Amino acid sequence: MKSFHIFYVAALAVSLAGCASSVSEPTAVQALTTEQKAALHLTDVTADADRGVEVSDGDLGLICQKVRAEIETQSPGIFTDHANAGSAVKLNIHITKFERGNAFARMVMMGLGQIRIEADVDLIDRSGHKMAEYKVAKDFALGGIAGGTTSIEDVEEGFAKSVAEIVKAKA
Amino acid sequence: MELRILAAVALAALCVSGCASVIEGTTQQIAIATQPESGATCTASNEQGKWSVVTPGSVTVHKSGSVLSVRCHKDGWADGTYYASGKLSSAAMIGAFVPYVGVLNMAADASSGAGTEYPDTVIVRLKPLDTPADANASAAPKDPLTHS
Repeated sequence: MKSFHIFYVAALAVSLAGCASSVSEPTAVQALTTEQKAALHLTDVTADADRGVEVSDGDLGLICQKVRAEIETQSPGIFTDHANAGSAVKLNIHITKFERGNAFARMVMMGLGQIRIEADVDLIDRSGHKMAEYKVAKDFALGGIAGGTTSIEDVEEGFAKSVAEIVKAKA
Repeated sequence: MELRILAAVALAALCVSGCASVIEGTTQQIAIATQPESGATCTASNEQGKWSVVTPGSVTVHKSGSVLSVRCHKDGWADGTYYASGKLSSAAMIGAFVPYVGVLNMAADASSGAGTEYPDTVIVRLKPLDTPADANASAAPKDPLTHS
C-alpha cells in the first residue's frame, strides 16, 4: 500500500511538471490572415528585451534556438535560406517580462515564487514593416515537488510551442 | 549509539556540501564538435568562465545554473552558436528528497552549480559564408541584448 502511495505521488509530480511545457494560446494584436499564413516563409528568429528586464544573452539565444526548433518541427520547410525570397519575414521576440521565480518558495507553497515569461512577437518583412503582432505569456506557479524541480528552461519549452502556434498553418 | 553519531555526522556533512557536489563534482567534461567541417575554434562560456577548444575536442567547464553558450569560428564559414541549459542532475534530485536536510542539500548544490548538468555532447552547425551580405552580418557588432 505504501509503495502505491509513493508511486502515485511520483506520477502526480511528473504529470504536473508537464504543465510547464504546455501551450498557451497567443493573443493576436494584429493577426496574420489565413492567406498570409499559407504563403509564409521565415528567414530568422531574433530576440531582444525591454530595458530593465533581467535576461542574459545566453537566455535570449536559448529562447531563439528553442523557438526555431519548435517551428521547424511544427511547420517543416517554413525557413528559407534565401534571404531574397520576396515574402520571407523575420520573427522577432521582444521579452517584456522574464521572472525566474524561486524554486524553494514554489516548493513550500503553490502560487509563491512563480516563473513567468511575457513577450511581444512580431513578424517583420524585408522593408521593416510589421506584418503581424502577437502577445505570448507563459507562467508556472505549481507548488510541491513539481514546483521545486521545475526551472525557467522548462517553461521556455512551453513558451516556444506557443510562439510556434503563431506561424503554424491550421489544417 | 556510536553508529547514530556517525550517521548524524555523515548526514550533516552531506547537507553542508550538497549531494551532487559530493557525487558529481562542480565541473563537467563536454565533447564539442562542428558540422559539416571540423577544425573550428570554439569558446564555451557561462557565468563561471570561458573555455576554448579546437573541434573535435572536449572542455572541462565549471557547472552553473546559467546557460552555456558555445560559439564556433572557422575561416570561410559563418560563426555558429549553440546554447545549452543546465538541467537538474539526478544526484541533486535525490539529495533534495533526503529527509530533514533536503532543502539544505538543494541550496548547497544550487550555490556551487553542482546540482545542474549540461549535455555531454554539443554539436554546432556551421553554414558556408558565400555571400557578401553574410560576411557583413558576421563582422558587424551586435546589440548585446539582441540575439538570432
